[in-house]
Amino acid sequence: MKSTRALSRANRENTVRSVLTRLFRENRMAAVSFAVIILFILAAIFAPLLTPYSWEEMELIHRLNPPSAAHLFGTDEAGRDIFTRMLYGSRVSLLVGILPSMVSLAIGSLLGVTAGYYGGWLDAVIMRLADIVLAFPSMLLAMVLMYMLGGGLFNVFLTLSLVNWASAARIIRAETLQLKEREFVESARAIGVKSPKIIFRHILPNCVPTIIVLFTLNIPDSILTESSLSFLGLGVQPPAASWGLMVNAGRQFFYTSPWLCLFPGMAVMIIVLAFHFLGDGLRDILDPRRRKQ
Amino acid sequence: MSTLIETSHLTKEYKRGKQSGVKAVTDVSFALEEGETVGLAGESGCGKSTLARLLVRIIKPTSGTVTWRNKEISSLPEKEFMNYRRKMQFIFQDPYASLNPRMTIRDLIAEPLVTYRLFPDQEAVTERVKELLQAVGLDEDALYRYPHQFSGGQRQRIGIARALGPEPELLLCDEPVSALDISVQNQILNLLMRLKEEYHFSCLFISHDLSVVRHVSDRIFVMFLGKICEMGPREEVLSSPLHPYTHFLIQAHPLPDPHQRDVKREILSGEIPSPSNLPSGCLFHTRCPFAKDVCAKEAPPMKSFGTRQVLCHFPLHSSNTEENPQ
Repeated sequence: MKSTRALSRANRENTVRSVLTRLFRENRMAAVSFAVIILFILAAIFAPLLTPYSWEEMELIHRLNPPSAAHLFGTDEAGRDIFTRMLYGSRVSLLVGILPSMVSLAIGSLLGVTAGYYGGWLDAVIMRLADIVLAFPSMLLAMVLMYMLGGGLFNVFLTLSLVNWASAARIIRAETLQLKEREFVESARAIGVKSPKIIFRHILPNCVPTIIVLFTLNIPDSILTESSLSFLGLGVQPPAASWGLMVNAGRQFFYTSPWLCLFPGMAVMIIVLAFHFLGDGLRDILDPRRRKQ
Repeated sequence: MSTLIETSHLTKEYKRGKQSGVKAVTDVSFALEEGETVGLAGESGCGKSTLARLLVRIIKPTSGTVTWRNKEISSLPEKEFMNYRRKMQFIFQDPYASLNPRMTIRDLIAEPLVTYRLFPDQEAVTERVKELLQAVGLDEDALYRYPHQFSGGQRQRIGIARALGPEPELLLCDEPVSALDISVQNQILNLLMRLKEEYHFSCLFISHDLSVVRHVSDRIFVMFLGKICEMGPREEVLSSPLHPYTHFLIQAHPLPDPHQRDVKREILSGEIPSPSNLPSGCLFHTRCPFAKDVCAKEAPPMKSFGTRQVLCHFPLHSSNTEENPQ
């Protein structure tokens, strides 16, 4: 009983700190993933300190060298150190993975919950807008937007945010439609709680599991869309590096020098998995019903 | 005794496009006196819950008025209506669905208190929540726990604490015990009756279970297809129903006595008419064995017999009571 009481006091607020302690205590996989993500972020920040090479300097005598002590992940077709380029490229790829996912989810959730809760013409307008966005293949839409906005990292962010909100809005709207018929929402209405408060206290918190899953699904999508855009010359421009760009550039050497795509590809995979496991863990911990006693 | 809440010709119709829609509640007029408990009985889908929801505007009425202590409140703007919301609190049927799973018990019980700004700060709110927990027989331990950690009966206690917080004058109980085990039902009913003594609220108690209604009510209203068909004091309604529908409702109630298993009971045959296509005249004439020609043609008026009222052309047992003209 005493321990329950201590636990319930700890559960009182979902502060970042208490969530993290619980994460480490209860879900090893999520904790490891969290550590991996932090490691990647630190590596991106301190890239110049971690490597003796420059990301753009070409050493043509060393082109297509396999991994060795001097070049940990080998060198590419222009003799640039792949490890170094990955460190610098992670700056782009991490930002491109995380930021637009957050922005598009924030936009999508707010629009979705508004459409679902208020219904009527507001619902019709928002959902038709989403239909329009969804009617185009997202790649095509991104290309058109990039073409209109011009290249550059910021425009990549903007494009990815504008492309991905629609599916999130649809899913959150469906969830809202279901939640707003639940008795606890009716109960809040009977008391006279105002609509915005019902949305933020009763509906959105119950959408959290969905939002987290959407977030983890969105990250790889964004990283890969960025790489495709870069490949088409619309995203980050060479010689700048991003993981997607490196995978694409290495494709033609895949049979002779697989390390060109292998390492950046693995980095994408690892970061995607890490976000996925972290998302899973967070979802469990933020849900009081799944909390271990 | 003075009248606490009164409805006049309250109607809720769900329209489907331009066709005539489903009438969930039709032309309901009743008065609830201060301090009394009224049991609202009737089969599933007859509009009991809709009626209660119309009173607190969870659903907006199509027409008709609601009067609170002689003041019309159904046309008040939401801002002013808040003062009356505070006086009418709702207890829901399903204690599993009516508490937000992501809020602590403290926040759940505090929600109405915070909404009506009844206390100056959060500490005062917490103190009040503790008092309320105690009043409904829960431990202070519950404060920072979540609904899923409680049993059905405990959750219904939380629902009651939540409703009790703003000191309502009218408690609307929408089948508060029908989702609970029999043994727990009894505890919750007794708790409600004890709290009623303590806090002096009136109560509109909705149930399809006649034994529950008998246990708690002073008066009973019987509803059928969106209309109240009979109103009267508990014992009289149950022992000598005036409306044939009430009669059959009582007959259909199972007897908890195995020796009476062979007692012949009158059970109605036929189907309930669809609320989207109501019969002409008296709503009950299609199934009523006492129906005469006039029942199919004319809707019966509400007739008064002393303290009782009935919506029927040919009330049962009416020979021993005199109709008093109004």
